[in-house]
Amino acid sequence: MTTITLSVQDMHCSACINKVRQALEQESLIEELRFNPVRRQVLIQHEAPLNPKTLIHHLEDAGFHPTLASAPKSTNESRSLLARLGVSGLALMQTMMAQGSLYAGAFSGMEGGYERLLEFTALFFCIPVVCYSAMPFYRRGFGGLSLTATGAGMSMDTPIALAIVIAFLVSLYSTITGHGEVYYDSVAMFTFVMLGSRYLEQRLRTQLLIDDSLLASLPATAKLLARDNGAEAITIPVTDIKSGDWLFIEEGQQLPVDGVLLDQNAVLEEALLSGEAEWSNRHKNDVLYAGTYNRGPGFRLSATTTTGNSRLAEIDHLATTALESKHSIARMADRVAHVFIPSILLIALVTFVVWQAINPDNALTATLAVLIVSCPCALSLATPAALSAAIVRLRGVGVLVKDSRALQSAHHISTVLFDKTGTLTSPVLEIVGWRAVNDYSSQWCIAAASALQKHSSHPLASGFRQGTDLVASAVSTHTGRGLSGTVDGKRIRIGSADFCGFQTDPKDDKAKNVYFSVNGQPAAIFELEETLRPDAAPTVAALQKSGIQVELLSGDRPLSCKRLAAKLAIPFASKQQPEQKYDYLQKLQSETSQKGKALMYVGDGINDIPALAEADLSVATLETSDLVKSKADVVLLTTRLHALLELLAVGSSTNRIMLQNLFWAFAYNLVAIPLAATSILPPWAAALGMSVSSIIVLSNAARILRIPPIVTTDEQETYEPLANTRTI
Amino acid sequence: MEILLLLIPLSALLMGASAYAFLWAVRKRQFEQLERHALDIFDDEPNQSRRSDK
Repeated sequence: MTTITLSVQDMHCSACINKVRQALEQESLIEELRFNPVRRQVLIQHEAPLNPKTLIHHLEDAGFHPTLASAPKSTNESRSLLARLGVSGLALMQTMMAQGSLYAGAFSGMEGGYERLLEFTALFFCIPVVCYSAMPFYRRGFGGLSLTATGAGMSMDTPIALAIVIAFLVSLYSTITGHGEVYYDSVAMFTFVMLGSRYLEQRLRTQLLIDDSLLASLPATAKLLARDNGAEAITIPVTDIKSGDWLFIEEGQQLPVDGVLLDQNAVLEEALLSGEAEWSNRHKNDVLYAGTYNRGPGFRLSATTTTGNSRLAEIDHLATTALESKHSIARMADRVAHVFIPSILLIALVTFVVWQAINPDNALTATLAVLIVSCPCALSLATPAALSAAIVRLRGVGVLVKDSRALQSAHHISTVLFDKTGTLTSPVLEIVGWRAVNDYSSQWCIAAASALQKHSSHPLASGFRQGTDLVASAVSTHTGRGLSGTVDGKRIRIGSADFCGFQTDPKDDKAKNVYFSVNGQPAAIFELEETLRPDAAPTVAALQKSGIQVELLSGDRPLSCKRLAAKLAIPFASKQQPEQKYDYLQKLQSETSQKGKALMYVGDGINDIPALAEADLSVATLETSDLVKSKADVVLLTTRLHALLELLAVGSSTNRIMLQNLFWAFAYNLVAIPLAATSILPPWAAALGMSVSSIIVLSNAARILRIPPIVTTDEQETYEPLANTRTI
Repeated sequence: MEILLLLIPLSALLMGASAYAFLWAVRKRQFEQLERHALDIFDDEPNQSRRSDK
């Protein structure tokens, strides 16, 4: 029985899910179908002989465009963690019941063998905790040790595992021999609390974790043409495309490979590379890239690469390598462990030996007290607790932190790089000026243009979304040039200059000009410009006021960048391809890290992915694809850019509180260990002290939740998380 | 206090049953996608999101 997950991005409602189900139900070999409407994926469990290509064909016949998706990897791990957590919780309750009775009867004494009975009961209920629930700690705590234990294999889990095992063994010994204290409740509670924090951490980390490469969004099949042009096009899987093949790219289709244009003209959307949604005209023999969209009529392409070595694959590789190295940075806590743990074990050993010499009866209890008290419960909780609180606090103001490690860079950001289109600007263009030529009134021109543009999905049409009573009829699209139609009995055209009969200077860089003609006569010129998001300027100003250097890094033309950068008073770099953004960011980042600072990058497009992967702290905006969101450390759930200010402010507070926690945890250990070693502190007091210090650390972390919102706006807005970013 | 001799094994039984039920729920993925199943009310037929084998 095999499982395959298909990503069907156009499955956006339950009616679509029904259609997909009906399309797949024809296949008798399918055992189970499971749908995830949030991720738009369908998980199919089927008998082995079924070929995934058949499934893809069924869905394509039904009108969908499925691609292979990788199932979330960590599900099994988090499920097993949850199972262990639940079992330890149940066992803890029963153990406490028995041990609580022992506490109750401790001073007044118990009759008969009831004390023994209750001890054995506690022992019995503690066994599942020690043998099953605590396994992850044994694996990570003892697993890395070699015979020549140099401390290298130790992690923060080592003392945890040791404390659990030793406390249990000591209690076992006491139970069997009939005298001495038992600590089963400490063992169970400790395991439960540590498992709980580990589970929460894990869940936070696997939210929105999509491991898809950029290639996963490409179409699954392509049309192959025979070289001699005689035969019909045949459909082949994209993985079979070889360099030199001739392909037919249909209108609206994504290019599966890099190639050379064989036909005279083509209209492409190359947002993948430039971040601009504008359509560009390409000519014969131009190089076209995988991942870009064909927005014009179908054309022939001569493949120069396979999907695997296309430029898209290289960009993806750049991002994946950056992400991998980001995630492998050794956790600070583990580095501390390498020094801390062996020292603790040494102290425990010395305690045991010394007490053996002085008073052998006390040796075991003193050693146990040392181990329990030195157990880095508070230390292990210090950082995760603060980070978890910060994540919850930020979620409330519309900032979703996917990687808590990135949050640790937030307190010492010295530079912020912004992408332009879609990040600082909103996706809608606006008309900033118009010139009426001849006698037509601009009002009428705009209204007529709006009526016509309703039929257009061209990005430049977004500026004409005015409501109007005029209706355009006989609308036809002339790709690459414009639209024509009839409004109010007049024939109108809107689009490029020569389409509307204007003479223009080709050196004019005003590509965002839209021309309008009525009955064949030039009528108006509209100047469109991108709008800055309303809070872009205040946000950039606030960043600059706190001493942060802000820069613009864009794939757009120099003139557009210059205009915008001037409005915000920041330096800019234009016409940056994805690889160039990555290189520039990497260079700047190594400079900032030498000064002990970090860099933040805010972007929204697929062309930002390598930069997002490489930046110390990367933020994806709201209106962007899931793929981009999956490569960033932080995702905004609001369109308000001042959420970035919240991110940085909460980041600083969190860092402060983390340091407080660490300081407290260390101080507590420093004071309590000598007390335990000299037997002033008995093991039960040590366990109590450990719990109290953990509570202090957690309460301190909870203070983060009470940080008031940094930015107060006149209108109180509540941030509603949108459906497609709901946690799964 | 002899009743303890009955109560303790009884609680052991109870814990065993709860542990089994919990582990069953985890294995059947009951704890995943806690929010998305709220969307089930929009399906036309009940239990459409899972089709188990006959």
